Amino acid sequence: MNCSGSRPRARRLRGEPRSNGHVQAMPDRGWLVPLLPFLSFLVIVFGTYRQARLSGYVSVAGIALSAVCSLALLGKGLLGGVASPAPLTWIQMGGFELQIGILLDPLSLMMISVVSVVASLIQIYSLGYMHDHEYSRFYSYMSLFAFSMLGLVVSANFAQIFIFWELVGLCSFLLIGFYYQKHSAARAAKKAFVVTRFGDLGFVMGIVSLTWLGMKAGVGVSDALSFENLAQFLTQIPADYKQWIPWVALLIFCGAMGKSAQFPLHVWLPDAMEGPTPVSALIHAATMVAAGVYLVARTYPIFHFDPWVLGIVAVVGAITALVAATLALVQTDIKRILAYSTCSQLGYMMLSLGAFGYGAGVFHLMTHAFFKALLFLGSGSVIHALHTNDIWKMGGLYPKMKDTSITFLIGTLALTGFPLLAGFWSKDEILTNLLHTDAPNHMILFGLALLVAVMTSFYMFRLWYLVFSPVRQAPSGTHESGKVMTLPLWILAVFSIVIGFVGTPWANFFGHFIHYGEGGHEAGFSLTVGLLSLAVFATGWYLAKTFYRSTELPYAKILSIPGIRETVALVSTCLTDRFWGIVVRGIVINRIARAAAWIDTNVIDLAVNVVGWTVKGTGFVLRFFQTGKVQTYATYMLAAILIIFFWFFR
Amino acid sequence: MSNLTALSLELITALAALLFLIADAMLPKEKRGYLGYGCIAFLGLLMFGALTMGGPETLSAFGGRIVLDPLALFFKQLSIAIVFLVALLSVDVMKKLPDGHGEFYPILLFILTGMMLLAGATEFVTIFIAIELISIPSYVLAGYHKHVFKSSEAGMKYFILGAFSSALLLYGMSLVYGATGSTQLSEISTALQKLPLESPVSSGFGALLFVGLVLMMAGFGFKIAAVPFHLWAPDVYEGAPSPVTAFLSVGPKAAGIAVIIRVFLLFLEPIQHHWAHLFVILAALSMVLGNLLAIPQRNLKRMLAYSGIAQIGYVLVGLVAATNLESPGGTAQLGISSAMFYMAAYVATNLAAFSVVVVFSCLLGKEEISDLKGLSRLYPGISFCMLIALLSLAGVPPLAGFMGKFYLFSAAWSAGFHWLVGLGVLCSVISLYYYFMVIRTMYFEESPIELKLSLTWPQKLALGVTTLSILFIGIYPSCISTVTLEAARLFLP
Repeated sequence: MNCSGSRPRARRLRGEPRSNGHVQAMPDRGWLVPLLPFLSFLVIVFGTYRQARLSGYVSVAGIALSAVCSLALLGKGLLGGVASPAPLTWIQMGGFELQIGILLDPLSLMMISVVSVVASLIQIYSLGYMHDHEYSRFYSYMSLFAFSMLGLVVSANFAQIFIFWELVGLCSFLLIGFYYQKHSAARAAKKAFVVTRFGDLGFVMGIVSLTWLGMKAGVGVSDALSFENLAQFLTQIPADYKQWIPWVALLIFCGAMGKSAQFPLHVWLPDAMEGPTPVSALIHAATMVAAGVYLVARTYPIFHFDPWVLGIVAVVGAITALVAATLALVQTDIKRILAYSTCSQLGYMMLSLGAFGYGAGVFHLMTHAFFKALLFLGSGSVIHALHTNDIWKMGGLYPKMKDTSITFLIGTLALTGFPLLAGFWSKDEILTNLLHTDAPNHMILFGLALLVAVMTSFYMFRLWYLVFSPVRQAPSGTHESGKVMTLPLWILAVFSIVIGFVGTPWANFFGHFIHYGEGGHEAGFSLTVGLLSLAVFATGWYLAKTFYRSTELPYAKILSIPGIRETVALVSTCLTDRFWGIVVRGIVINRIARAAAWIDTNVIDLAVNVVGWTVKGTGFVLRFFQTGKVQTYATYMLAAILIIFFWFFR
Repeated sequence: MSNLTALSLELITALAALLFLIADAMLPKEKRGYLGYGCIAFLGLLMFGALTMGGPETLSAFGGRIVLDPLALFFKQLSIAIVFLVALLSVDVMKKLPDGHGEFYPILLFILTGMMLLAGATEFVTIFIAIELISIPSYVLAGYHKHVFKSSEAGMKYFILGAFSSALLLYGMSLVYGATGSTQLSEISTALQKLPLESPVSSGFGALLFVGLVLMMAGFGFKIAAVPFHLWAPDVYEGAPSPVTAFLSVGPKAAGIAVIIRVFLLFLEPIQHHWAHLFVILAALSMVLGNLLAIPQRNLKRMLAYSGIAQIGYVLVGLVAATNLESPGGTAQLGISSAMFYMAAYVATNLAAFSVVVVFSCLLGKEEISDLKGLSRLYPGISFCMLIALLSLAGVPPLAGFMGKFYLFSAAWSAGFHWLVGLGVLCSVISLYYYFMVIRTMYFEESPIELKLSLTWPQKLALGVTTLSILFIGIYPSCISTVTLEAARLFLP
């Protein structure tokens, strides 16, 4: 029974402190961070499910406490005194051993803080956004998600991160399909699940290959999969097998591509907007989709091992950034614009990671979490007021919804790289790094990044002018959302303004805290890049202003030029679902699936049936030995013993 | 020099059993229902006490006839857990009996005393007494519904065949005593090491010893219901009252495995190349026949009886892996550890399944598989427990049964029994068929009737504890495997 095992477990939980750096610290209670939301999940499911309001409060309390713990740990980490608790043995069966641990290093400390703070704000916001009768289900999923995401971030090895990886995938599925009565929501949930599965298949294969390499290197499973020893483990691999490392990295990158919606697996993200808006803000903008970027950063040694893998990462990132930004230009659904924007920004991060810009990519991941959550929540506030997603049906909201408009403008400015706001610093760092790095083709990538920045500026201001600018007439009866919704907006707005200052080129605290390898070679300040990015911002803004600030909308005229509309339509379908429809239907369904189906019906089923009939027949025959008579049974037993004797003494 | 700490759990339990017997006689008839709750409380406290005991040192009492080492402690804790859960399941069933339900609990506690004694016994007479202390009350329990024809028949059958097997066991022990001159296992072991035993039949001494061994194996094989000594099991399981069947399906098996580990793997280790083949055959036959015979069954308890026979076959694979028949100097600790782990997983799983059977059969008087039709729609909670239990029995990840099988088979594989592992995996696949038949009946068929069940708290507790244990062991297996591995390490240094 489980009880008999509790003794050694308790002993292990207390653990022995592992010294980390110069400060001998108590093992930190890092496990509290994911555990608290899990507890609130259990409480909601088994306790307060019937009391909707209470469920909401339980969930908010859980994640808020978790945020407090995270921030305390982060504070401690900044002072240099955080120690990861000793890992627990999870499965130990002979030579096969897996551990489960809490990895607290600067990267994970930053992530748990961002995730828990953003999640707390979004959960508070949801108290106003969601309807009462949806509370229990919504908050149980949200708590489960918070547990899984925080568990993912603090995972100490590949096996553990994969479990949480799948759990966040499950939560994402459940939450996209939250309004499961809606056909489109159910479809979108299914699509997200299936598309990310392609990536996860690669991820699993990567993990298995890594254990295989571990076997070749004579390293146990638990050591081969550990994040802490990853760099060291790679050096232990025999020279004959070193050539496989980049391929393993690529397989792992497949997982990251699926989760972070990188081209060509980006198609699920826009559809995922079928979920409630707070879900889009939390899962599909700020946290879960960043998990792919986090995974690459976490397993950076394996990518860094061979530069051509990083080159692929960079190219995939650049393509994603460009494609998604292009698609964002023509969307009419406010959430889809933001979704493509998220996709594009994730591509930006990947691009930076791929071009040796580790610190810059992770920094952008952090700033983006805040301002993109802000933008989504702002759009949620608008949707809540107007009950539509179509930007053409909105307009002139500024006088009616001042809080939402101002915070949304702050978010827009932060995203587009307005000087001194969060996005300005992180985007500049990425660009500066791209300019000075020695990665191959870095000038092309730099040019692409600038182009994407123009587009970003354009589509965001297009959105702002169409929805908020007082030039247009607001629908009647519009009113501002309640305090419980606007307060998180303002907090996130403040973060979006100030969070960038932790990573200015002159005093890069962030870069000193989180870096790969020796660190210290951050790009520094470049006046060229500063001016260029300002110019880029201004261009996008100016274009958007000319097109959309008036009621006339000259943009419509451009679209009416013959050929333009068709081209736009063609490009956007090629890049999205149509393309996949052809690929999947043509190859997967018609060729592979048909062949598999034939083998299944004609070979496997037959074999199964034959085995089944034989087994069933034997079972019926053997039954006749069971007569029910004591004498018979005793005789059989005696006969068995005699046969054994005979066999022994033959 | 005797150290009574080694016997403290047994003494306390025996004393409590006597107290319950007196209390049953003293209490007015209408208040005897409380005895069940008293028994549950006592077992809970005992469990708590047993969990705080332990440590790596080995205690011994009565000149080494009884020891308390981590292996014994593990099986004692397991026995308490079994009897605790069975008591939870019995309370409401026994309340419904017209008379005499108070005796049930002292009998249960006497059995527990025997099981705990057996786990630590290292001498033939003690072992035999402990086995009889388990068996004789079990015969009574099997026939406890004395007005029900099937139950009396089950009790009678179990008694006659049990007496027969006890006679075989005792005869075997006496022959081994005759051959080695001692009933102490440690002395037998030393005697065996001294003697040249290349061929068992070369000397009269060897023949005596091996006839004795085979007879003992038959006796133990009967207790754990391994093929070909399993014939009693389906009939007795079907006839006995459901909570008793729940006990019979795990209790004697756990105790039997404990004594087999101690007698065969530790003390008869010097001559293991002679008897290990027998266990291979027992394991293979049990897995194959148990699974095959489970398929045509229509009665749930009967099906579970055959499934239990198959499951004990898997445990025997672990014991086989603990011998170094195929790979010298191999993996004895792993084999023992995996068998212990599987036993714990099996206890949790089978008792979860039987909790559902008890709830179902005793409240409705139905125990055919077809009676479960549409259970999932009427009682999603109970069906979920049954689903988890059946999936775990079939070995579906991430449940306890899967981890147990994974552990057992990997131990056997590294011990060199590749064909046995292949057979085991094949049998697990076959077992999916009949477990899924039950699941299909529960989940995909319409219920013809409206049932009205209301669970009492002991039943809910039993269902909850077992189901959560299955999930917990499956998700966090090293909570048990570290304990079992530690016990095996100390047991076979």
